[in-house]
Amino acid sequence: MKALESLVQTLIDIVMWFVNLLPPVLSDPFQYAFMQRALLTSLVVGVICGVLSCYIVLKRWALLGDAVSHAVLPGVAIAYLLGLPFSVGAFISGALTSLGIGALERNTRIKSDSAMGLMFTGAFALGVVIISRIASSTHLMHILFGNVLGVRMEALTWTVLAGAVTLFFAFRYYKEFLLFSFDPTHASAIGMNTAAIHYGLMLLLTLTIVASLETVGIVLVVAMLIIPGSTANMLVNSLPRMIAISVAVGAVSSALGLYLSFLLNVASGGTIVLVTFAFFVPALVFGPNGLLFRRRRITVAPA
Amino acid sequence: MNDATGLRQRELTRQIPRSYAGTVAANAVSAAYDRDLVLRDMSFSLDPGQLVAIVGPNGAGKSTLFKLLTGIKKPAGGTVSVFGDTVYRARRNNRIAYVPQEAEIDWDYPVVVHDVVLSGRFGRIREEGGLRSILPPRFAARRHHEASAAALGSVGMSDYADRPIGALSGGQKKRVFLARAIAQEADLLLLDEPLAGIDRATESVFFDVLVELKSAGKTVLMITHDFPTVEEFADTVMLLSRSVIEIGPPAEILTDENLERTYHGSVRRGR
Ligand SMILES: Nc1ncnc2c1ncn2[C@@H]1O[C@H](COP(=O)(O)OP(=O)(O)OP(=O)(O)O)[C@@H](O)[C@H]1O
Ligand SMILES: [Mg+2]
Repeated sequence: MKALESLVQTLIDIVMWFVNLLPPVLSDPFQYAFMQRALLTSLVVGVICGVLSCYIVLKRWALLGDAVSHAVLPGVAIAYLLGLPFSVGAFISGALTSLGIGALERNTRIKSDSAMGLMFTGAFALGVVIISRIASSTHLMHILFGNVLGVRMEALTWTVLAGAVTLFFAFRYYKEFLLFSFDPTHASAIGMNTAAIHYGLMLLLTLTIVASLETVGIVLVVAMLIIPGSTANMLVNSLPRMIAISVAVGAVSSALGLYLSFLLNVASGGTIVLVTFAFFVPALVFGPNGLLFRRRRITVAPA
Repeated sequence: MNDATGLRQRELTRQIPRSYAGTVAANAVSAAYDRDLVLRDMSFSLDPGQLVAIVGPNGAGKSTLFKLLTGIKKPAGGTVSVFGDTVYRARRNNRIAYVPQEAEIDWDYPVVVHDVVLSGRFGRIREEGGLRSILPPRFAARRHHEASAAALGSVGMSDYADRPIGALSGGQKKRVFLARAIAQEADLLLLDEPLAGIDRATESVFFDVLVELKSAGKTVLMITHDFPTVEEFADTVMLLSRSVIEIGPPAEILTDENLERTYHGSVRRGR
C-alpha cells in the first residue's frame, strides 16, 4: 500500500506539472494538497466513467448504472460497522446485486428493467435501514452526494487502482465488449462466452461506480455514466472515437467542475454533473448526429 | 494461418475415423420454447461440400434448427454434432458462420460497414494468439483487414465500407452480414432466408457467392421459400415441418405429395 501511495503521489506530481502551466487564476486553488488529491480523484473518475459510459449508453444500461450505484449502500453501511474500507463493502454489495440482476434476467422471464428495479430498491432499502441506526447524517450526505474535497490518500489510492483495473479490462476485452453490445447473437455464434462478458461488464461497471462514489456520490454517479457517452454519441460514428471523446468530456468536466465548485463554494458533485451537462447540450443541438443536423443531412448515396 | 490450417487438419484426422457422422448430424433432436415443443425427433446427417436447402412453412422450426446448430439454443433432447464435434467446440474453432433471419441489433450503433465485416474475423484473430490477438481490432494483422475488404467486395459493397451500418438499405444490410459470414472463412455456413427482400441483381451476386463457396468445399445450409432457387442450386433439400419430412436430392423430394405433407395444403412450385 505504501509503495502504491508513493506511486499515486508521483501521479499527482505529474498532474500538477501540467496544472502549473496554466495561468495562476486556474492553478492557484490546486496549491492545496487536498485540492490536488481531489483533482486526481476527479480525473480518474472522469476517465473511467467516460469509457464505461459508452457501453452503458449503447447497451441501454442506464438503469443498471442507477441500480448498482444505489445497491452499494448496504455494503457501505456494513463496512462502516465492521471498520473495513468502505469501497470494499460497496464493491461487494454492488457486485452481488449486479450478478443477481444478471442471473434473474438471463434465467427467468423477469425482464431486465424489472430485475434491476427489484434488486436495487431492495438493497437500497436495506442500506437506509442500517444507516439509520449507525451513522450521523453528514456521513450519509457524503455517501449520497460525494465529498471529493475530503478524499484522503488511502481512498485516492483505491480509486487509482480501480481505474487501472477498469482501463486494463476495457482495453483487453475491447472486441468482446464491442461485439457483445453490438450483436450478441454473432458474439455467441463465433464462440465468445457471452455470459462471462455480460457479468464481466457488470463487474467493471460496479468497480467504476465504487471508484466514483467519493467524487459524485451515489445519487449523481449515474449522470457521469450517461452524459459523457451520450455527448460523444451526438458527435461521431465510430466506437473508438466515441470512447475518446467521452473520456475527454468526463475528465475535463470533472476537473472544471472541481475548480468551479471551489471557486463558488458549492457542492462539487453537483457542479461536476452540471458541467458535463453543459457539454451535452450543445452536442445535442449542434452535433453531426444532433437535432439540427440530423434533419438537414441530405447526401447522395454512391451508386 | 499455416498454424490454423494445421490445427484444423489435425482435428479432422482425429475425428474422421472415430465417428464420421457427416458435416451436420442430428440424432433424435427436439427443441422447445418454454414448454411448447417446436421440433421433435429430428434425425439427419449431411455430407460436406453441399448446398442444402431447408424448406417449410412459417413457424415450421427452421430458424429454431439454426439456433440449435449455432448453440444459441440448447436442444430439449437428443444430440447435435457439427464436423463430429459439439456445436460449442465447432464454433469456438471457427467452423460455423451464421447469418440470422433478422439481425437483432441497434442500427444507430457507431460502427461502419468495414467494422461489422471485420467482426467476422474476431474468431480468427483469437486463434492466432499473441499480443495482437488481444488488442482492439484496428491493430489486427493486415490480412484480417484484407479478408474483410475482399468479402465486402465479393458482395459488391466495397464502396460502402466507411458508411455507418444504419445508413444502408435493407438489402444492403443483408449483403453486409453475408460478407461478414464469408470473412469468417468457416466450413459451415448457416444462412437464414438470405433471399428474402432482395432484388434480382443482389440475388445473382448472392448465387455467385454460393457457387464460389461450394467450389471452395464449404457446406452451406440455406433456409428459403423460393423453389426455383432450390431446384437450380441445391444438392439436397430438407422439407421441414416440426420435424424432418423428407430429405434428399430436389428432383426426387420436391413432389406434390411431399409438399402436401409439408405444407398441409396445395403448394405450387413455380413462382
Ligand atoms: N423466442 C421464441 N419464443 C417462443 N416461441 C418461439 C420463439 N421463436 C419461435 N417460436 C415459435 O417456434 C416455432 C418455430 O419458429 P421458427 O422461428 O423456428 O420458425 P421458422 O420455420 O423459421 O418460420 P419462418 O418461415 O416464419 O421464419 C413457431 O411456432 C414460433 O411461434
Ligand atoms: Mg425463420
